[in-house]
Amino acid sequence: MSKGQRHELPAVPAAVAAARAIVDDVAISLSFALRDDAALLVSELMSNAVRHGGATATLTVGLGEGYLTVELHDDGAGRPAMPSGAMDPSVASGRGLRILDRLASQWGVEDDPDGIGKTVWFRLATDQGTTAETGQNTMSEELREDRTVWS
Amino acid sequence: MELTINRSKDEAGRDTLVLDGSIDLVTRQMLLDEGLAVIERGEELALDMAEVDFIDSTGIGALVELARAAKARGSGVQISRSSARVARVLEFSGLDQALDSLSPASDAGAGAR
Repeated sequence: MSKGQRHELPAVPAAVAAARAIVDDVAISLSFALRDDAALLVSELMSNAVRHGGATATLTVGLGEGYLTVELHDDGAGRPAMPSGAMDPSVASGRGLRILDRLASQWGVEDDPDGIGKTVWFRLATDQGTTAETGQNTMSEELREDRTVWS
Repeated sequence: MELTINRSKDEAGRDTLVLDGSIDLVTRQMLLDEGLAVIERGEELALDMAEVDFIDSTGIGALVELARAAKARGSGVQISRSSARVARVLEFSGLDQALDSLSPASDAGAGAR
């Protein structure tokens, strides 16, 4: 959905820190607060992809039009039904999602046309004057119904 | 972007893990292993997180797991110091309240594994 740098990452735990570093490289001109939020949010996306996604994930990061935009695509199959407790019972459902919903200016989940993979994305407003306050809450309410893709 | 853990004792002789670095999907297991080693002796666990520069929900999950394990043994986990970044994530993930509810002083049984 946006232009930006694309990075193919293995869906392994070590890639979570790599994803943070990639995003921070793009966000380097932004405030420390925004860079912190961006690192936290991409860590949530990548951790989710590692736990529930396929073998690789594609990270796209773009800066422009008043936003830092981060998208993470993975080919994880059968994610809505995947039991979240099998590998890691300590990761309480929805905590990462709550952080995403709290910090992102906008976020969403888009299914691939083939119905297998998905893209989870978020945007952080980089210019306080262009924050999309109107519609932001509506969007979040709608997307809450997608929480089955996340745990 | 890694995690270093040093064990020490605070003034009260309580076991303290001094954490330095990032807590994420990779390093959370280190925190769990070190924390559980203290908890399984029945000791109260203190975490000094003043030098933690990053934590995400997987790290928060590890803290919850430690708190539950401690509670099941009649002990508790306390965060003695935290960086601003850690404090912020703890607050908006609701863990500051969760830790309270998991402490041994609260109603026994609820939330224990």
